[in-house]
Amino acid sequence: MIESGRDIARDVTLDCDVVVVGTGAGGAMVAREAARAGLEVIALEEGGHLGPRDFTQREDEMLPLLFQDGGGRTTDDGAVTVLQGRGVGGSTVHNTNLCKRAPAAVLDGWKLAGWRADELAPHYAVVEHDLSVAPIDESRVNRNNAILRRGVEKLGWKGGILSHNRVGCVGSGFCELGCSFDAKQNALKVLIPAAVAAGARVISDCRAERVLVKHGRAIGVQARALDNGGGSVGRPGATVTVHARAVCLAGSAVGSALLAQKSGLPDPSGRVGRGLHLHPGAAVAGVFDEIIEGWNGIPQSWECTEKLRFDDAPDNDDRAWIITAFAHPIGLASSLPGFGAAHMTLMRLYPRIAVLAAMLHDRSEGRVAVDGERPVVKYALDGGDVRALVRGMAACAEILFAAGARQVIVPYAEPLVLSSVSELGRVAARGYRPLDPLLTAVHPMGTLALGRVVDERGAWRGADGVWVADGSLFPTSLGGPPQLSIYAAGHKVAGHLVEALR
Amino acid sequence: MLTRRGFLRAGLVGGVLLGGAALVGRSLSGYHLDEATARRLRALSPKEYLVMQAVARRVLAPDGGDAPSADAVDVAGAVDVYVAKLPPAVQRDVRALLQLVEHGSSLFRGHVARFTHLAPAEQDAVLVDWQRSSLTVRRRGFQALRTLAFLGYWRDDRTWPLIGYSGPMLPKRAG
Repeated sequence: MIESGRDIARDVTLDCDVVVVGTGAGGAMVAREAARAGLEVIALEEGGHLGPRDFTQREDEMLPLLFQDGGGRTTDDGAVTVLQGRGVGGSTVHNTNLCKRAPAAVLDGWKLAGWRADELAPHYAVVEHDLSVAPIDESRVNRNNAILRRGVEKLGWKGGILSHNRVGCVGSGFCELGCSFDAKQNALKVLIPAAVAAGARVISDCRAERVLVKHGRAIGVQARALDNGGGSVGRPGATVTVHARAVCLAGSAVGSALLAQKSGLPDPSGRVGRGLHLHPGAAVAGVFDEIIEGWNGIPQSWECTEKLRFDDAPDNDDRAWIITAFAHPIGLASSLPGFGAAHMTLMRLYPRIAVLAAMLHDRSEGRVAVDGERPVVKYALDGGDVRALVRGMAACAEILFAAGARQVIVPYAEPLVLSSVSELGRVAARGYRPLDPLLTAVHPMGTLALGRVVDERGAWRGADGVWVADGSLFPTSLGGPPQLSIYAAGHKVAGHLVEALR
Repeated sequence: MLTRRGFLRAGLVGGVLLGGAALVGRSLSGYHLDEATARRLRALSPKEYLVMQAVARRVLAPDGGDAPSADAVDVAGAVDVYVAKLPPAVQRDVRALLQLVEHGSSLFRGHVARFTHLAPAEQDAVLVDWQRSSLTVRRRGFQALRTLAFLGYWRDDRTWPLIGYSGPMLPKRAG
């Protein structure tokens, strides 16, 4: 059963075995697995329950519905926009379906029992099967991604096709606004219905406000029914108290860290909310003579891994994962520099530009703090990450020139326009300072990390009955798209949780 | 992408600036918006609508005669609709930002003219001032203003022919 907090008129108290906070990749997986194991499950979701008929392919209409703060969440200095999903299915509703296992070098480097690559492989396999993960057919590579492929191949760099969880995709290109054609095999389409079929109860428009703890043990969650006003308004309504034998935090590395701190959960490691990684990314645009129309087709189907190494050496500045980053008009306008007539002239290049992004396998550690009821995301790039970011941006420019770009625009506040590959040194000369260029992050991780805040099972250290099953778990950056790893982590944590409740 | 969460409340400098802007904002009047438009507003006050409108006219200054004006697509009205769908704390931030840009010249540039009363070239200079400011709070404010204006403009089907964008596959819904 999926119900809405809008329909809860009076304060209510519910009982179950497991209350799951958040219905994204991790939470939906835990809800399904726990329900299938015969446990009574209630999953709470702050956002609404939307479906293909609600996805209008219009940015101004979908941003308030699908993203925290309407897409406006940023780090506290405004330097990094942190795009995070809301609504049943979480960020799996708006992501671009990239499915990639975390590299063995990363997982094995954690040195955590049960989390080595070979130990996590069975969990990945379940997810890949259930979500129909498969490589994108080469014939579906759109022109923007073909530019990336062409440049990488001309340079002789490493790269290749990506795998996705999509079936029946018509290539509309509107993945980031929700799939109107229901082709995404995600938490919303696959896991939540399976959880409900197994008896789970899902309450959308309902924000968890406190984890309830008694005598060192979680006994449930206090939540608030919401009227989201056709967006993310969150007008508070009735109190929803859910008593449970276990509480599973799965509201993202920001949301779960916020809830843990608001609830005053014990923090013997002193690491709650800390260790935040973001995969911050910078976009670089190439202007071509040919028509690209990058908004058509599958947005991200190819990757370049030439500048992505996973060794821990302090001087490893090759830590950029390069992918395409095309946007619809509002997103594009926001990422191009300047304003006024000059900006509008840049916008007119839209059909002829290809956009790549250098997404950083970051070592900088930020944190999630609390301001009243809201999160404050604190994060600053350290010197090594600045070097790696700048190298990644230069690599994007090099790929674009190799693919035939006649100009490359690096979107600093004062735009840097390069006319040939011989000018790449100008990127390093400009470097990076906060807000210049603007960075975007879509992968917050690490604020309730394994081996620190929670044990290797995902169980809270310092309070019984609290579990974590989202990107908060990862003690380092993954260096690639995290959704598959979050689903897999959810599957693994769910197994331990079920075992603990038996 | 859009508003900057707590952007004015971040740090002492931001707090002082916001306090000053709010005081000045309350002490002045003289904003006239037609009643029909004012009645439609959901989140912004008439004054804030007019400030957003003035900002949008500069941020979206056309580079050719084929570009619809910011007024023609009612950028400020679209921003109002959008902001009304955001959490109250974010709405407050947007409104405070608009107050600050209106009266910020008094605080930052030493003259008393409101943004809405400046000539276009002076308004551009103010925006560049924000963009290049050594104060993070102002650079953040500039990005937020810019993005709100872009949202209000490039959402409109009438702007898409300028950039060759074919638009959604789905027809626009009524209402």
